[in-house]
Amino acid sequence: MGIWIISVTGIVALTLLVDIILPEGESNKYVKAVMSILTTFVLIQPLPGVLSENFDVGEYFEIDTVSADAGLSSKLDDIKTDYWENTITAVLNSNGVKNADIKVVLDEEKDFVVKVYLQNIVIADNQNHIFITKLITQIFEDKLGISAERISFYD
Amino acid sequence: MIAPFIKTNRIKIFLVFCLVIIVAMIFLPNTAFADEDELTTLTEEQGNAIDWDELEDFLDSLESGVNDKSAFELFSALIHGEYTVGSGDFAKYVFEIFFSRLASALPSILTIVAVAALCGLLAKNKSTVFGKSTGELVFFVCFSVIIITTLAYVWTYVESTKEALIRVKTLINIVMPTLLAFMAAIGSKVALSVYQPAVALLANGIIEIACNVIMPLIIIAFVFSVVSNLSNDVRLDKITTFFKNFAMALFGIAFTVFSAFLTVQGINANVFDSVSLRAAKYATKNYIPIVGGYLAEGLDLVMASSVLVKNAFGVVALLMLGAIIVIPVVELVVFNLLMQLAAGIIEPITDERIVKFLTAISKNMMLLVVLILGVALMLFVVILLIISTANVF
Repeated sequence: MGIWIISVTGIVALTLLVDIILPEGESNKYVKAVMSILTTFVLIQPLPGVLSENFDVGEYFEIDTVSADAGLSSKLDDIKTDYWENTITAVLNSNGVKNADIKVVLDEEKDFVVKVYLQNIVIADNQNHIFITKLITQIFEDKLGISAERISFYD
Repeated sequence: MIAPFIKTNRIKIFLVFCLVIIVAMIFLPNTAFADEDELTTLTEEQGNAIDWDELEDFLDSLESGVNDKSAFELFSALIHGEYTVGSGDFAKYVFEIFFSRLASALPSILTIVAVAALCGLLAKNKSTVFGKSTGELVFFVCFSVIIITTLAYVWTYVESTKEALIRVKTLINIVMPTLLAFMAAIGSKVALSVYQPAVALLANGIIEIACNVIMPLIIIAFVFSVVSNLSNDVRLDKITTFFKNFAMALFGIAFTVFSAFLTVQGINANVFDSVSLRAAKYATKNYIPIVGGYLAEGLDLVMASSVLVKNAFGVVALLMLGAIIVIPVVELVVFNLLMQLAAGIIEPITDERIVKFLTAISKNMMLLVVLILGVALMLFVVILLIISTANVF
């Protein structure tokens, strides 16, 4: 393309030069006609190349995706799960279940499960007769609206 | 006697019960969880999670009025509702650039006017002072001086246009992953599936086409505008018009297709996500009365802080976009006006070819303005749609 532009500029400059140095006379108009034909040839010169070339528009649309920042996503998930863990722990505390170790885990679909580690849990004296996992499941269902399928217990 | 008394008491008890429920519904969730301090803490935590280094470096590289504040300072001010830029401030800034560029370009334009005037005077007296050929040669020399002076500016502006487009692409690559991560965190799955390919198409498809196909076509139009006016015998006006129209047709197609699809799909996706999030919130609240609201408000707080951070970050991105395009656009507009002024001044005294040349250059400058503004508008629409996504809290 660059060569073509230089060719066009060159032929026009040549025409101008010929026009300046050519003496007045009968031959003048023939020379100008030849220069015009030459200019036309130079102008259409890249057309055969353009027509035969396999110009692939698709290459501009074979694009890399711009995806969400995985590191930031993971940090945001951590902030979210930390907040939920604190909320759940506070609700358990207020319902007589102390020292509960809670882990909220998000999957790829941002759906969550709650892991409850039982080793340090202390429950209020008046609830000692209740089976601990049953008590926690009940609190989750009644107070937090988290169904039993989302809860898993670990010793 | 007893029956009406019992009935009145029941009504009173019922009314008191309703009052308690209403008061509890109004105040309990707010006092328990929707604490402003907690929202601030969550917002700051999420704001700090963003990697600001790349954005700060990018902002430092811009010659603009935004970099008296860092990107993080802008963001913090926006989060706390303290950042306000009035249209008056912005207009003042634009006019400052306008007049500074006008002052810096004016000497060169005066040179062009002076040379054109000299050329005109010589041309008018060429039959008495010089022969026809010598007169034409003198004109050619004067015209060359004007061409060289003008093209030096044109080349600078072509380069600054290309640089602005590359900067827009860099901005997309810096801010979009962050905005998309916030959309994912909020749960705008449908909108995310629309914007992710759209952003990639804009950054790697349309801007690449603009830089590698449309810009060369505009440069060809510039060159042919010069060549076309060198000689009265060789006219290249129509082929120049063809290249200009071809460039604009390509850009027009890209702009229309991108904007139309993105706007329709984006609005649809935004509504879908907003309804889904509202439905989830409604379900949580109604699954367990009162306490459900308590939990829903707690979840709301995390989501609301994400939305707040997403929107503030989006506004920072928009300000940066403005900072990228404002200087090149104002420079091009100033140069376009000065070219028209120069053509207007010299029209009565000089050769028609010089006037046509300056007018053609001025018109071609507007193609560069259209290119920058078009690409910026596409990104503006994307960011605006992302900001308006999932604002249901």
